[in-house]
Amino acid sequence: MRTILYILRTSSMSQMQGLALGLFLLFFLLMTICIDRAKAGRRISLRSIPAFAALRELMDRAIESGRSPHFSLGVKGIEGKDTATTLAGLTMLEHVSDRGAVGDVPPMVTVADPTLLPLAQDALRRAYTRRGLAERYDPGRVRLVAPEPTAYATGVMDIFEHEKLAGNVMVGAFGDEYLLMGETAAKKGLSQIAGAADPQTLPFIFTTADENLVGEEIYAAGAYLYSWPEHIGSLLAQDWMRALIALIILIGVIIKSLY
Amino acid sequence: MKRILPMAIAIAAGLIVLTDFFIYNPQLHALQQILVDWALILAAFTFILGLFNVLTVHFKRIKARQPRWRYSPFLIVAMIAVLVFGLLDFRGPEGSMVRGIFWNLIFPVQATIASLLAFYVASAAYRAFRARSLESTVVLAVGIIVLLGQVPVGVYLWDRLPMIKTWILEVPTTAGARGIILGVALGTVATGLRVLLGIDHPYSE
Repeated sequence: MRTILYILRTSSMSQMQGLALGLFLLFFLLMTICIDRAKAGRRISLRSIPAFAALRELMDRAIESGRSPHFSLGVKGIEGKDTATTLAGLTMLEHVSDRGAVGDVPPMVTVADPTLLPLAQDALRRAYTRRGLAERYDPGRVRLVAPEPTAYATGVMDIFEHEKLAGNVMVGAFGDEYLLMGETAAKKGLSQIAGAADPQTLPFIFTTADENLVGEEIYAAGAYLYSWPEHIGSLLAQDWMRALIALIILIGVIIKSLY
Repeated sequence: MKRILPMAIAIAAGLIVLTDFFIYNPQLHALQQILVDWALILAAFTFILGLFNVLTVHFKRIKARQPRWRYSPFLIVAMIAVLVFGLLDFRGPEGSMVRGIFWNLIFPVQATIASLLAFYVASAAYRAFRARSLESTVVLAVGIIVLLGQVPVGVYLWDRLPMIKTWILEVPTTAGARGIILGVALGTVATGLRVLLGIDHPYSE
């Protein structure tokens, strides 16, 4: 305790850092409480997000037709500010791989950042291992197309043009190059589910994908697809924090307007 | 043990980096710097994995005589050639050959593909602006107002159009974008916390 107090005294923490730390600790506390509630079996209703239902339907169609879907994890990796977005994509890939392993229609996964290669391959390998079909796992289903976004988009467009696919799922960090891929898939008549966190990319997704995941919805995959109580609890904590921040903003606006 | 050890390392590394963001301590900062450097070195090594991945995919394609396999030898030769040019020059990627390839071949091709975006935007806008539902009709109406407010002829049609356009971009659009950014920020913190708590562990079983 004495050491912690000493570190805090000599840390020269700024006001903004102090505020961020306070909010972070509050979020941590809320999340712990909400996860406990979810684990205790308290009924927590989630609003409907059609994209997750569409993903299940897409995988059902893939199994029936014997065709694999394409899965893109975006153009960023796990070493920058888009790590959380990419991890959200990996959670969805986990689900697609699980369902794909059942019908032996593993997704064709494309990545632009090589840091995602081992993670995506591991997601596929685990899906097959869980089904006791480890010998059917093919690491070549995960492809590094190109590290540069435009080159990556061109490679993916080529896949849409020439491969027989059951659909297209794109969840991760994308820039303008998303439109090149999304529009090509739309023209080919592929059923598309896409999600991104960047507001600049969302209009492109809105115009090309059949079902979209807007902003924070991509982080809800664990709660909706697997009903993991930890993920449901963290969703609940996010809602509480959002309400709290909205209230703080509102109070700030009122105070600023009055004085 | 196979599961606990990677999780313990990930949680410890994450906590050190996070604590350094909030609290400045010279020893902690030095340790954080070492961890970040290790992460960067590891990330660089994944490019070697990427190289083998590309080679494996294309050698398989050639061996199995898959459709359009004839393009694969060109890709392999080009990739190895650039690698050799980079290795032969002690300046590496800054060498004249590699720079020449990038400036005279790769960048112009990338610029050409990027320029196609304009046509893709037009095609996507046509699909979005078809007034099929109330939402699409609103998008269409707002799109027309913003477009006319942006171009000089808009002022001649109605002098208040640029003002309405500015209001649309600065008030409802910014408000919507900020709402999305706030949600994304909370989602990012929640994802980070789950990794720190060992709930999510994409690096192990």
